[in-house]
Amino acid sequence: MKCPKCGGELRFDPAIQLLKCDYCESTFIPSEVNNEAVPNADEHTEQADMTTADAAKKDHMADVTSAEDIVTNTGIEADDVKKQQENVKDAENPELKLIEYTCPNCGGTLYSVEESVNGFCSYCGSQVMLQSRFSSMKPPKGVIPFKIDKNKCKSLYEQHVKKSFFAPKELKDPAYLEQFRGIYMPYHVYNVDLKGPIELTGKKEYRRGDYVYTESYACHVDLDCFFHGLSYDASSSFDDHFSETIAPFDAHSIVPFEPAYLTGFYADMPDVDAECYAKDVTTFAVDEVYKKVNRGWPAGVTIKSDQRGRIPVHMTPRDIYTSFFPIWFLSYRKGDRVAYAVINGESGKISCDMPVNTKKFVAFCFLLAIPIYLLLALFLPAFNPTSMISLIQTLGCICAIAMYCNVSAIITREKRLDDRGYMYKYSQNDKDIMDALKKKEEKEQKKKERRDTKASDMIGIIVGLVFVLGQFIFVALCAIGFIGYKVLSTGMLQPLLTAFFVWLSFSRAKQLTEPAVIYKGGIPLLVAAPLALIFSLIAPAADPLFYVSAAIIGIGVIIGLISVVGMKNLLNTRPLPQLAREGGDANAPV
Amino acid sequence: MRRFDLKRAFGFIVAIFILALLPLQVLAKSKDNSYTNDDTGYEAYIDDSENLLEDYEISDVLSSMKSLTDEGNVVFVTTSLRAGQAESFAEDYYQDRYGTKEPGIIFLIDMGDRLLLLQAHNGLDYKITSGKANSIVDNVYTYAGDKDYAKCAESVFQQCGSVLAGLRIAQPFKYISSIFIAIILAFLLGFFILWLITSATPASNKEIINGLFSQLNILNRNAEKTSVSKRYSPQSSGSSGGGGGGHHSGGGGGGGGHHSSGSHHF
Repeated sequence: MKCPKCGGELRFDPAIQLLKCDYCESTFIPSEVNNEAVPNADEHTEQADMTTADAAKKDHMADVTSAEDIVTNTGIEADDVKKQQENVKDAENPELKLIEYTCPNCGGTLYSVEESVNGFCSYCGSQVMLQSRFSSMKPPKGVIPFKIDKNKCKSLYEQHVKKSFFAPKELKDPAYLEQFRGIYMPYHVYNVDLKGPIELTGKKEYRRGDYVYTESYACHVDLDCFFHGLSYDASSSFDDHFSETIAPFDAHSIVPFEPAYLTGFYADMPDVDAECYAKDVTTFAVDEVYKKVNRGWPAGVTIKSDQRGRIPVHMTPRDIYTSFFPIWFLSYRKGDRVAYAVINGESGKISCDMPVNTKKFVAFCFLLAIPIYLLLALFLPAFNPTSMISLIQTLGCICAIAMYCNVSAIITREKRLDDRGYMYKYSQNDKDIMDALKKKEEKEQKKKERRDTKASDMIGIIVGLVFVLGQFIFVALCAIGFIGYKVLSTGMLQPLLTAFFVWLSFSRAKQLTEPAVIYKGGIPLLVAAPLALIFSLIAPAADPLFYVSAAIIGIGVIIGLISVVGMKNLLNTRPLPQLAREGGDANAPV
Repeated sequence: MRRFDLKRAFGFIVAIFILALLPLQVLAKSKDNSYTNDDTGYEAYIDDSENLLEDYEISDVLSSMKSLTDEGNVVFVTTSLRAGQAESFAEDYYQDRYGTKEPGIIFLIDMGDRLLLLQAHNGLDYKITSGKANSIVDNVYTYAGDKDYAKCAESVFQQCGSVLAGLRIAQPFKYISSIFIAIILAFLLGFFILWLITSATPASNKEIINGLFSQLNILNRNAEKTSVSKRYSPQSSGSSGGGGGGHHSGGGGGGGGHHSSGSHHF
C-alpha cells in the first residue's frame, strides 16, 4: 500500500486506528486508501474541532452509507443491529492478492499483503528464511483492527512474565520480545436468533397436612432473543485453548474488511468448517435463554427439566461469516519443544505456555522445605516409626497420582484432544481423535442431564437425607475415617496404590513423544515403595532398618517429584508442529 | 500340772511368734521392691508378677526410680493381659494404689500383648506428654525385644528423669523423617504455586455476552393450570434430626484424674 502523497509505505497504526505513512507520517482512513481524493484525517480533526482520530473518522463518514461506524454499545435498536450486521455480511470484496510465506521446517503458513524480510517462523520458532510465493484468497467479510500496538503488547507480556518466577530467563530478554508478530486469525462469526412462542410444562408442589399436592401447568412464553457475534477460531493451527483463554473479542468492533488493515501484519487462513462449532453456538444460546425462561414464573411454578429442545433456534448459513481477529503471537523454541504466547490484539488479554526452569524450581522447593521442616520439628508429634514410614508412603502415593494426572494431561495436549477445530479437521484420519471426540460428547451429554435435574431438587434430597439419617451418617463417617486411618497406618496399602498409578502412567506414557522423563521418575518410586515396606516389616525392633526404610521411600518420592517437574515442562510446551497443508482452503467461501 | 502348762505355753508362744513373723517377712520382701522418699512421701514400687527381673536387677531398677520420687510416685509393673487392656489396667492400677490426686509415673510391660506402656499422672503428664512418652518407649523397645527388661526399665526412668529435669530427649527418627516429609511437602506446595501462576481460565458466559449484540426478551409469560393430583405422605414425628443422643467425655479418666500415655510393641 503506497502513500498517495509521497509514495511511501503505508502501515495500519493501532494507536490511532488509521493508516500511517512511514515517511511523511500522513494518516489515512483504511476504507478510502484506494481513493485518489482521500481526505486527510488531520484536516477533519481541525474542521470539526475534534481531538480523536476516531471522532474524525466518524465525522468523515457521516454522509457515507457504510457500516464502518459499527462501534457502539449494546442498547441500540434491533433494526440498527440488523442493518449493521447485514452490511458486514453483505460486504462484497474482490479476491485478495496476498504473498504466502511458508516455513520449510514445519510447513506453517502465513499471509501478508506486502513483501517483507522474514527470518523466523512463528509456529515452530525456527530461525529460517520463509519461502514466499504469490497467492490469493477470498477475503473475510469483517475484521477487528488491531487496537494493541507492538510496544503495548511487549509491555503486557513483560508484566506477565515478571510474575512467573520459574520462567527461563530467555523469555525476559528484550531481543526475544521483538519476535512478537501481529497475525489476523480467521474466526467464524455466528448470529443466532431464538424467536417465537414456546409451550412448556411446569408444576407446583405444596403440602397440606398429610397430603402433598402437585399442580401441573401449561406454560406459554414468547421469545424475542438473539446472540449476534459469537465467534470461534477457524484455523486448525491455532489451538482452541488459546482462543478460549484470550476470548472474548468484542463483536461491536467488527468492521467491514479492508485489505489496508493487513498492512504491517500477517494473516492465517480458515481451514476449519463453520459446521464444527455450530452445535456449540446453539448450545450456548439455548442454555442462556433457558436459564432466563426457568426463572420468573408466577405463584411458585417451576418448569420441568429437560425441555431445552422446545426452544426454537434460527441460524442459516447466511448468518455465519468469517472475520479476521487480531492476535499478537510469539514462539519460544527449546530443543524440539516450542512454547507460545498469545495476546488478544483488541483487549490485551494474554495466554501463554510457560516453560519451567527445572533447576530454579527445584532450588525453590528445597529452600521452601526449610521453614516447613522447622514447623514440623516444632509441632509434629512423635509418631512411632511405623506411622512415620506410612506417612511418607502416603505422600509417595500422592506423588504417583500426580504423575498419572500429568501424563494424561500431556497426552491430551500433545494429541490436541481438547482442540475441537483440529479434531474436526483431522478426525477421519486418527482413531484416537475420534474416540476422544466421542467420549467428550458423552461427557457433555451426562453433564447436561445432571444439570437438568434442578439444583434445588438435589439440595432438598440431600438436606432430607442428612436430617433423617444424620446420626448414622456421622457414625459411618467416623468409622470409615477410623478404619481408613488404621489401614493407612500399617503402610501396607500405599505401596500397592503407588505401584498401580505408576504402572498406569507407564502404560499411557507410550503415547508421548518423550516418555523418558516418566520412566526416569517412575522407576525409582516403583522400586522404593515396596522395598521400604519390606525393610520396615523384616525386623521391626531394629532401629537402623527403619532409617533405611525412611531414606529409601523418601528418596524415591523426591526423585518422582523431580520428574513431575520435567513433566510440567512437557505440559507447558508443545511438540514442534507439522502443519504442511495440501491444497488448503484459500478459495473457500467465507 | 505345772509341766503340762509350761509345754502348752511354750508351744503357744512359738505359734504366735511364727504367725507374727510371716507378715514381717512379706513386708521385708516388699520393702526390697519399694522405696519411699522421706522428704516427699512419694513411693517407688516394683511389681514384677511376670518375674522378668532377676533379684539383683530389682535393686538396680529401683535405684533408677528413686530420683523420680522427688516429683511423684514411680511404679514398674509387669503383667500379662489381652490386647487392648494395658491402658485401662495401668490407669486402674495407679489409681487403686495412689488415688486420683497424687502425681506419678507408671511403666508397664505387658507380656501378653508384648507391649510397653508409659503413663504419667496428675501433673506429671504436662511434662511427660503423650508425645514424649511415645518417644521414650520408642527409644527403649529394642531392649525389650532383646529380653533385657532391666535395662529397658532403667532407660525409661532415666529418660523420664531427663524430661522432668527439663532436658531435651533424643527424637532422632522424628527429625530424620521430618526432613523427607518437609521436602516432599515443599514440592507439592511448589506445584500448587506453579499451577496458580500458569493457569488461564476461559472467558465466562457473562464476559462473552458482554461482547455480543444480544437481547433476552422473555414476553407474555402465562401459566395455565391443567390438573391437580395429591398423594398421601404423612409427616414423620421423630425425625427431628441427630444430636442429643448422649455424650461421653474424652481423654483422662472418668473420676477426676488425668494422664498422658505412650506405648510401643516389641
